[in-house]
Amino acid sequence: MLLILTLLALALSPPGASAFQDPPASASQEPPKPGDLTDLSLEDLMKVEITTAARKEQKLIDTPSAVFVIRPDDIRRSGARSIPEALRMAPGLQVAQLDANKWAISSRGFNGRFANKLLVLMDGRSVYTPIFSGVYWEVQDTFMEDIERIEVIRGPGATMWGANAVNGVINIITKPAADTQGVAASGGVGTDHRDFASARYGGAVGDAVHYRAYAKYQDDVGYDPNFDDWWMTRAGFRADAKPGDNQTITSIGDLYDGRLGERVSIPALTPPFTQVYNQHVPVRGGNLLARWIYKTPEESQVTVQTWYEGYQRIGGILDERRDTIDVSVDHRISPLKGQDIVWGGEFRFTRDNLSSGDPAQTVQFDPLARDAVIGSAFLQDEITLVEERLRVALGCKFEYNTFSRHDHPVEVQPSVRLAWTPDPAHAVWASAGRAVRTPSRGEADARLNVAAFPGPTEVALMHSHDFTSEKLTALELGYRVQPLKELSFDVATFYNLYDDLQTFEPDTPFLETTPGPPHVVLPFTIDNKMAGRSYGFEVSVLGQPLPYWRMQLAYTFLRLNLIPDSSSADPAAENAEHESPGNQVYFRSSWDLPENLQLDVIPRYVGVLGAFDVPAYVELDARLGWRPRPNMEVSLTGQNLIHRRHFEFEPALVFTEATAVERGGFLMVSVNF
Amino acid sequence: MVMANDGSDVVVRCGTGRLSTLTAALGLLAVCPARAQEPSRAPEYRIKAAFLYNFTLYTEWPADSFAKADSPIVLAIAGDDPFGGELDAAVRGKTVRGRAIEVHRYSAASDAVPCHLLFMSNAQARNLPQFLRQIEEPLPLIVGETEDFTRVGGAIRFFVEGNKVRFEVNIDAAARARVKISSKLLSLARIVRDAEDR
Repeated sequence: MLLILTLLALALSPPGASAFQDPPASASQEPPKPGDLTDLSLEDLMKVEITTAARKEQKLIDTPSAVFVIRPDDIRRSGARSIPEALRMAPGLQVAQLDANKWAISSRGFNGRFANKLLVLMDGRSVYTPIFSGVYWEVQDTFMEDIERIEVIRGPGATMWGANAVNGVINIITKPAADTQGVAASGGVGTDHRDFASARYGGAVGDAVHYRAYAKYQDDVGYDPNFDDWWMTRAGFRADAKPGDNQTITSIGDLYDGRLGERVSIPALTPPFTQVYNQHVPVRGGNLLARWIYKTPEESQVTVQTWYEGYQRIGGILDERRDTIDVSVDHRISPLKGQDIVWGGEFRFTRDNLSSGDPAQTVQFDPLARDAVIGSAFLQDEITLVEERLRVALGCKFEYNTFSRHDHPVEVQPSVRLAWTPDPAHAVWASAGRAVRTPSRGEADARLNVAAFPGPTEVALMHSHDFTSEKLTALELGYRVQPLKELSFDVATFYNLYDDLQTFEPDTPFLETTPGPPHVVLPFTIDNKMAGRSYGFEVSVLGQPLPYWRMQLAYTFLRLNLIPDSSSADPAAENAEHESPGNQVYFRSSWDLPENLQLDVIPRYVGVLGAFDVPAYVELDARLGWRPRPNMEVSLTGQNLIHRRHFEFEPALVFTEATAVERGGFLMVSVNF
Repeated sequence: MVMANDGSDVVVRCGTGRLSTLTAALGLLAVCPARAQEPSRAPEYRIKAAFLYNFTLYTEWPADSFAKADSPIVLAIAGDDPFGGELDAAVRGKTVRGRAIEVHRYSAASDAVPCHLLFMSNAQARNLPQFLRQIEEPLPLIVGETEDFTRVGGAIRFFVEGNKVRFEVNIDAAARARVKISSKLLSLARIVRDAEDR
């Protein structure tokens, strides 16, 4: 409560002197939109600089892939307090909450806590862990109000982004420091999100350097009072310098510290053959990125970027320490009119230090410490065939990865994309591409004990150096139309052909004496004995029937058909067919009401997950925001209002237990000045 | 490995401790000098849309160019629209001297008249001399971006200098459109006149 009072006091203090214009116009009744320039005086307008994009920005309608962009207003009005919550609105994604602090997020199927066919980048820094090729979503966060956009690209993005971009890429991009000047603060209290607060200050040194720093804190009680509570604190900064008109230097860094509560269930060699206990996993990490963009007078652009990330998770069933350093260079050039070439390379070095976190050694890595590198080079040429009408993009990426199988260490990932814009209101696009999901450190080096029975007998999943990359050939076709200024449709369809998908094949049983008691191990060794195909479509509709009423609809249809080789004896190979919903609907209705009120009502439907016995469900979020002053907002958000409790997922393979997501809500105050 | 109950107790204690620290930090931030919030960077066409809106504020059109006292000011875009929705967003809900602002779009400049302000896409601007020969008075205030725009009869041209949007005004062309441009706007513009040989 003290926090809310502080924020109120902040908001009501008189704003600093600001230059007012006196144009012969009556100002609009609406509160100024973020980024609105029409309130600026002419003199100030003359000072505004044109934003320059690091990668070439395209109008959304022209993009030849299935893209959905989440904007700051969407995040704010959806009531999302974390990046995973915001991702629920994107068509084509499967977002499920495992417990209060863990998510399973994937694109176009194969969902799981460590969904491994999705590449996630935060400001250009890849955030998947090489252990399982998955993302620890619980530690990916920032000052939410400083997010400029989240680009959700479904389908293979391997040519431009690299391995793991098999079924999608999520690109989280924060605003330049120049766009986040001044103080912003928000905080609140709630049922699950018990209390949270964050603040940012942005300043400038002369005209050439802008910076900001933020701090954020949250304390979630979790859905089960005994174990899935979650405490995180983090701080970070961003600085952008412009030493000249043609270059920009950016530096971004974060530090975080937190504790994740979870219930763990692991196999045991003595009755009842399962051990269940609660634990808190301390997580700690930091990252630092530097980027230099140089624009030559001939409109070619060079970007050099380097980043470091270090983190540790100690006290789970696996103790993990990891340091990663990455350097990349890319160069964009238009050698001829109508040719837009991007080429570049990236080198990444990662060093880990692992150990079993529990006495039973549920997870065992051999070796315990290993260095790995990824090196890649790519080239893409976008050719304009007919000015403003027809474009084709051809590209290929070559990638070396320590964990790729030795007989073919270089992965080749080509793609071709075609965009036809018959007029500014219609666009048709098509693509064909190949992408691979390279083996993870776990698949190359780990043994995982997954179950135990009387005997005692233990079932273990075994690594193999013969395991090779999973491969995808994807065909996509999309159509966008904006029949009216206030209405747009986006339909994306795909047909994916997978090969060499992961299976676990029964191997010769053997006797093991340590750890005791002596027991028989039934090993299942990792292999690539499965093909598969998936198809589906995603529809996104944005509409504004009235100036004060907007709607967003996302519908996702997905079918996955897995075909194990005749030689495969994996009993669970086809489970993934039923681990992602076949149908999903997300709908948001946003009203701007009188008295500076805003109301959002957000129902969603998620289809049944047959593999986990998770029934289909309908849930509802709702948010009422009130802006008593232009720089202050008070909001009340209700989450998962329909059911008192509902399950969304179940962890496969990894041993944390799911909890039911509970009805909840929070009150929040945001100010900026 | 921390077992359930003592573990969660620790977390709760940590939590409240940090909360008060953060509240104190927020308090400190409050004494930092407040800055007026003004975006210092924006997409090019959002800036240009804001300029077009300002042009309507600082320009007076002849009374006979409006049917009624509250007839809207009509902004027309001829050819491909580079603004996306920015121009509509810039003028939405705004009134100038009691007049609303409307944005209309046309594929060809010749379809756009009569209007008050005509923005010509680069492709359309290539035909500006022919267009000026064809149309009858009253002329709109014609805005464009091509290099020679104000030399071939356009009234206002946007250009980019040092990554900032600038504009030049051909005061002879403005006079032909019978508009009165305020001295404030002209003081920020680069002024050009018709070339001697035209």
